[in-house]
Amino acid sequence: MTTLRGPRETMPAAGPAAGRRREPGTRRRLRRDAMSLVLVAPGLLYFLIFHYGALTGYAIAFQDYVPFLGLTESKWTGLSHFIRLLADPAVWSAVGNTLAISALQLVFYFPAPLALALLLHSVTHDVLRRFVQSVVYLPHFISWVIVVALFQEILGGAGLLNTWLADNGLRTVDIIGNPDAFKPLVVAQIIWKDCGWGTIIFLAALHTVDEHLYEASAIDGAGWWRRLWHVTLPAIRPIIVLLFILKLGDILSVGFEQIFLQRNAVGPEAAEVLDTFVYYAGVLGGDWGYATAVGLLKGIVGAVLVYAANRVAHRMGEQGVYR
Amino acid sequence: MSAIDRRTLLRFAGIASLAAWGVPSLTGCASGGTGSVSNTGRDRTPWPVHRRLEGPAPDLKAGVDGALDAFFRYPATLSRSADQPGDGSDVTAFIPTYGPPPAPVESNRLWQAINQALGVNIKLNLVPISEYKSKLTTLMASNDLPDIIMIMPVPRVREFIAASCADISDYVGGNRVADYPNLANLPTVSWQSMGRIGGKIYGVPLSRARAGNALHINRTAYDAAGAPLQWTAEQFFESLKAVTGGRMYGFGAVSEDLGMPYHAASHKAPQQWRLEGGAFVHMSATEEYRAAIEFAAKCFQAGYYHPSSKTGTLADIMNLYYSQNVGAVMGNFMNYANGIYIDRVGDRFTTDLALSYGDGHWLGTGLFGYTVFKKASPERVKMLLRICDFLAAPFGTKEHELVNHGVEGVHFTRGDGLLQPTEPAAAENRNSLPIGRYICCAPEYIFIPGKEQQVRHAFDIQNTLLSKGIANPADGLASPTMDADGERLTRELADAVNAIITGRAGMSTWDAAARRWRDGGGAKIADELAAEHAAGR
Repeated sequence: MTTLRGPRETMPAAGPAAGRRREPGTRRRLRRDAMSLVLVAPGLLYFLIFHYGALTGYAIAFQDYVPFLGLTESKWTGLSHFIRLLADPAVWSAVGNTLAISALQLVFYFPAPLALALLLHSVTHDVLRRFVQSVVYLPHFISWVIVVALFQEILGGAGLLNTWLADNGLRTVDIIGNPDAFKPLVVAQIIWKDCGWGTIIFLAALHTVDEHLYEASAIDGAGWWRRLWHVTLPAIRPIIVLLFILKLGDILSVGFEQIFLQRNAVGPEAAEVLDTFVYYAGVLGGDWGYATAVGLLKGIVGAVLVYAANRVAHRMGEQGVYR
Repeated sequence: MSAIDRRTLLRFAGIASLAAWGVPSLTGCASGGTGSVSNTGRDRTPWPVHRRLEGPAPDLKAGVDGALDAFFRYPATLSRSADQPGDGSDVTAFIPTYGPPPAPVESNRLWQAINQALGVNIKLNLVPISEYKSKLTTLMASNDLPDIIMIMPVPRVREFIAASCADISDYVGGNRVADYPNLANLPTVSWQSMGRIGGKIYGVPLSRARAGNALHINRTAYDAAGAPLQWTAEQFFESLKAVTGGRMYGFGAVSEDLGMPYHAASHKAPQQWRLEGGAFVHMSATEEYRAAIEFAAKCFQAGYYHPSSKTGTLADIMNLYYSQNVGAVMGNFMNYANGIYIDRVGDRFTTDLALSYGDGHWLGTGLFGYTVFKKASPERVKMLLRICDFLAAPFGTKEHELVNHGVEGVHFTRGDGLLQPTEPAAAENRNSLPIGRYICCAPEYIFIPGKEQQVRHAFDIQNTLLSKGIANPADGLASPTMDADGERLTRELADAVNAIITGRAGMSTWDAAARRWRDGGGAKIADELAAEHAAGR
């Protein structure tokens, strides 16, 4: 902002006055920055078309949208979808499930990569560390279809665990297909799949911590725990806060495929989340307007959370996501 | 991945808005109102007059209405039933597939031969069946339609067809279908189940056996349990109990329905709807359906269902059936009657068909889906219809042999009363290249190469199933509310049924679920169907 305002403030000094440095004109500045502008253009276009341009699609939320009629010919219905949404128990059940899974993810999944990164960082044997790193990254590249199938093969009613229990005359356990176990199960799955991948940013941050601080604190007699508490964590706090805020913005997105694949096993009461609700109502149910209204609500809640969390971070003296 | 809803919607919206800005004229003729699909109060095009083509004499001739002929041997002499229909142009088609993708046309001799016989260059957009409905919904929003689209019931699809597809009433209605003898040979019930839209005919049905779905069972296991062919509910339950043990479970089902069609039919519940004095009564309002849910829940909670039934797709459950972990599973009757399951099971056990454990059997609708055409000049639409006519050539014709078995000497050799597939047929076949299945196809027939005894058995079972048949009186009737909300209502009801069967909810929740269905749009659908029905098929 300030750079834009700059030239106008200096305009009156356009004359030969006082040998102050002249701000270059728009054309000159364009010529000067041509290369940077060319470099920035593709990214800018990408955001304009695929992020901002596509936002016009949210107009669907205010229409009885019929795909083959398009935005211009579909009937406008004002806020009717939003009024219906407020009174729809299925939406609120989905909001409840989403928040419950999200809360479990924040408590159990968010710190898991940090803990793993600290462990990896403390491994000094280079070859061993790289090997472990590669192994823990791998599950990230396995598709959810396979991950869910793996969990079913191991924990399902006819899976490895229960077959073994039954063969040994023990009581079998009902995990897959048990609505009460569903939420912990999906959090366990995401930890198994993405915990290793999540360590990348933390590991990079850990490498930036000044080694001298560790040495100095060690000389002062600080043990492993004190070094972690007084050196490591304060040093990577901005990164933790940044990731936490971004996670908050995503709080209503708990993973479509993963939950979609397991929804039938436990029923919508336990497993319908906003993402699957939108899919069933919109893509399969053809109720595009309503589904978009629910999706829009989700987007707004996410944006508000990011904004609020960012403000809180500033209050606490952190950089946050943006100033 | 986690934001698929937003991304999909946005991409969708982008396409939609581009379409809306680009060529509004194409969609301009649509009424936009939901009433346009109804046939009530409209002049209705007469159904194509059925003219049976006399092909090779069947070994067992269908006597019952809706039954298929059966053959012991592949016909020794073939007739011709269509000329080359094409004009050398490209023809694009959007159809589903159950098989692996085909080799490209340049190296695919089957595809080349079909193109040559048709006189066009067929370009396929093949979509795996599991994704077909969502892809079709997306296609409906696009401005760039292929020449041929296979239709399955998705929300508002009839409105889409009325707005964007060619009306073929003037080409196939009444006696005019005589120009396309193979289409005139399709059973009338297939056309009727497809239904008219706004009184007009827009599609050509993909005809299927009326026997519909039946219970496939591991006869070896059930014989050991002493299960009779015609069983009662108690005998069925006791057989499940006897068969279940170790790795084997008596019953397996897909998670969407948990075998309810079998239980409901056995309890003689209506197939979706029952006509009572001109009024449409939904199955959810009947005592029979309630009893079926109770019985299914009893079987499930006794542990006779394979646990994968909670999560499994049909492919998963079928694999469990082949590996003898599941003793019985609902599936297409034809998969027995054309020998597919018999082939897959081999010598490991005897795969068989079971009757219901009561007096009812839910009939098939008589069609898999139907084919519609992009609006075009009359000449082009007629050419596309001639292509369909060629593909609908019945068993015992050269056209049928080419489309379904390929080229003699390349894909098969002629054996004694059967065609022996050659090695290239393992990759180039009608599964990977389902032009003759999902663009248009011949009426079905019972033929299991080299297995006369099983052919006789399938024929008998078919007749028994048809004699117990319960049809859905709403087949082919248009209801704007069903078109818009049917999918959601059906899913909500199925969710409630699943919760009761698996024990997550008690039977006491059923009345509330049925009421939600009725008040959420079901009652309105019933009224619309009754009005349609009163206006006549």
